[in-house]
This record gives sequence, C-alpha cells and structure tokens, in this order.
Amino acid sequence: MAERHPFYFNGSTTAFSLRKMTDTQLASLRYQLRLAYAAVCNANGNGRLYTGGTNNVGQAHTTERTYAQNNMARNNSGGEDWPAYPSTGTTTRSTTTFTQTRTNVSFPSNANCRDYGWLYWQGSTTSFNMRVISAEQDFVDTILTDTISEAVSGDEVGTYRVATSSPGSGWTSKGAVFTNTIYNNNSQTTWNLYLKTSGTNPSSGQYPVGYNGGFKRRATGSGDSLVQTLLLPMLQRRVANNNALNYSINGTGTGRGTMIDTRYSSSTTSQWFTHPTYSRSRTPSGGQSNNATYELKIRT
Amino acid sequence: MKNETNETFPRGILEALFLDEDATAVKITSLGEDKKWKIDVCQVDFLSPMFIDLMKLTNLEDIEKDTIENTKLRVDEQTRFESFERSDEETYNLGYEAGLVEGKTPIRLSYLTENFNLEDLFKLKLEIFETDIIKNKTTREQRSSIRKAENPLRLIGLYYTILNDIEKDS
Repeated sequence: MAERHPFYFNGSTTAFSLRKMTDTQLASLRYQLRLAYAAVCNANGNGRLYTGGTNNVGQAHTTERTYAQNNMARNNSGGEDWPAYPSTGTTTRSTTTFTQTRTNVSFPSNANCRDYGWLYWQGSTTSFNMRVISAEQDFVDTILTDTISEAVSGDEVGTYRVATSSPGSGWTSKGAVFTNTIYNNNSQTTWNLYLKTSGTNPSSGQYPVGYNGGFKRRATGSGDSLVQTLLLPMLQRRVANNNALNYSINGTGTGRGTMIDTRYSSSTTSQWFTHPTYSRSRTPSGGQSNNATYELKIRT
Repeated sequence: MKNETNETFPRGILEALFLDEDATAVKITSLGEDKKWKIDVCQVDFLSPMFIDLMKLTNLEDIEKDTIENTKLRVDEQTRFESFERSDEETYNLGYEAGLVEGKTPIRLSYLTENFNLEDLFKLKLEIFETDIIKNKTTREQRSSIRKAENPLRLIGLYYTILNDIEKDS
C-alpha cells in the first residue's frame, strides 16, 4: 500500500486545476482528527484512560515505612534485659489500577468511503485513473501514522499526562489518580490525570476533493463526516489492534509523567520499661527517599 | 458476608474517602479475597466498574461526610506525630505519663496508654469495623464515633458501649 494524497481545487470556481495535497496541507485534517478523538475520550468514550477497571495499562502503589516494636521480659538471671531495636516494616497504602478502553470497531463501508472520502491520482502522467481511497492501509500510510505520531510527540491533542499541576493550555483535568503517602496514611503529593482537548489548528486553507456524482470539496471539521464516519473509527481500530496510542505504566514508549512513591529514609528509636517487660521501638522519620517510580508511557 | 453481586468489593467496604479537595477521586478500604485489607484509588467516574460497585455500597454524600470527619482526625494525628518527631512528649502523650514505669501497672493497660501509636490505633479501628456486629447492626453515627476515637481507651470504651446498647435492644 501507499500514501494516497487527496486532490484539492487550486484556483477559483471558474478557473481551477486539481492538485495533490502535501503532508503539510493535510496537517489541519490530522489536527481535526486528534480533536475528534480527544472529544470522544473526554466524553468517556472509546480510547479513554481511567482508573478502576481491568488492569490492561498497569498499577501504581504507594507504600510506607511502619512503626515496629520489640518486647522482652526482664532477665532475672543476670542476662540482657533489653531486646534489639527492630527494623521498621513496610506496607502498601493504596493501589491505583489504570485502564484504557480499546474497543475494536468496524471499518467503514465502501459506500461511506465514496460518500465522505477523497479522490487520488493513480498511474503515470500519461496513463492514470482517479480513484476513491478505500483500503485501510492507504488511510494508515496517508494520514493515520502522522496523526498518531503528532499526538505522541507533537501537540499531544487527544492524549493524556499525569502531573501534579496542569501541563498548560488546552489540558483538561480528569481527576486525581495517585497519591504518595509517607507515614500514617497522610497524603503528601497527589497526581492528576490530564487530557489535552485542544491545540492550535495548522490550517492550510485546502480541502480534499471527493466525488458525489461530481467533484466536491470535503468539509474537514472535527464534527464533519470525513472525520467522524471515516477517520475516527480507523484511528480507534489502530488503538484496538495495533497498540497505537496505547498506555502503560513503565512499559515502552514516550513518557507522559511520572508518579513517585517515597518513604521516610531514616527512623527514631525509643525504649521503655513496664514491669516486667523491656521494650524498644523504631518510628519512621527524617527525610524521604524514592521507593518506586511509575511512569505513564504512550506508544505510537 | 460475601456479596456475590459486587464483583469489586465482594466483602463490602470499611471506608471510602475523597482523595483530593476537589472530590475527583475516592480512596476505598475493603477486605480482599485473601482476607487482607486493601486500599484502592478510583476516580469519581460513573462508568468505571470499581466506582459503580462502590456506589452499590455507599453514596457521594456519605463519602463527603466521612471525609470531613476523617480530615479533622488526620489533622489532629499529624499534629501529634509532628510533636513526637520533635520529642515534644507532653503534647504527643496527651497527658499520659511517659518514660520508665516500674511497679505493678497492668501490662495491657500500659500498652494501651503509653506505647500505642497511631498505626496501632488505625489497625484496631479496622479490626473493630471488621466485626459482624459493627458491620451489620450499628448506625452510621455509631460507626462515625468509632472512626473519630482519638485513643485506644476511648475506642474500646465506645466499642463496649455499642455492644451493650445492641444487647439491650435485642
């Protein structure tokens, strides 16, 4: 399969030519597709990331050091009375299970491709056809791969981050997902999940040309049929079947924020005697050190 | 009692508290299949299976009330813990005599009054909440009073009073 770039009208309605759109001229369509995908995720639809479902993304745990105490009865034969100081224990305070909806959907029908898709040029300059794009791999090569790449490494529209504060303009908070506690279940830092729902439209002013009993310029808005009926289901198929825009915790891909589990790094000791028992304890205290890091990753 | 209709929390929940000030997520304490306590974090999301199962057992209004109570308790606990870190024994022990004690003090009582730390208090509350009588025969106010108990003696006293009240009513 190959890239099947659409034609566009170059000129006025009375004097024009058909020309092939470049990747740069398709940037606006790719952005509108990301915008549509972001809207679906924001409305809890197919592709969204959330907590509390099946563990198909990964888990993050917050742990703590815990108090410990040793007791020993008085040795009435002259031996050692005091027990050794215990080591602090550890416990898992909470677990967050991340889930992504990855539902496969049907590929659009040939009729939909004809009615909402675009025309491309196939052949040489002296012998060619004008055809309606319809093969899934052609859509992948022409627009989906670049759309996904830009979602991961470009404007990030339609994708998530975890952060302790908003990553910036265009990001929508989807709520808290992870909290780090260090002792006695008291929260220290909380991470929120953010979804980028808007960015800057790199509009080129050119529109793909399709065929409905005649040449017709296609509308390319995120709510228009080209995006909603053709491209959005195709993008969701890449998510469901090809790992595109799939998230993981500490898996492969591009980092989208790191949640950190810290613990007290030292402890304080105390001892006391309550007839006939000698006791020594150790309580977590001091500075903090990292126990584990949980990085949200996204794949292309 | 195992609840077959609740896949996420088949043994019910002990506590559900909001994780953040904006109430966008909940921290849920429940008894797992291995009969060990576990805490899960879940967004307030009416399409999330975990949150749907949580709403079968409680509601947002009760979670908010419990969170407010718990926050007050945590602030107090944190104050005491920080006092302890500064070795401010007078504040930490809240008037209990500290240090070496010789004599015929009953071991159990001294354990509760002098050496009982906040972790122990939390675990004791969990144990009490786990009993069938507290889970099934107490009012929300009674459970709230247990949750707010500041020290083990008050906690056990409340537990004893509740058991007596239930016995009288039965």
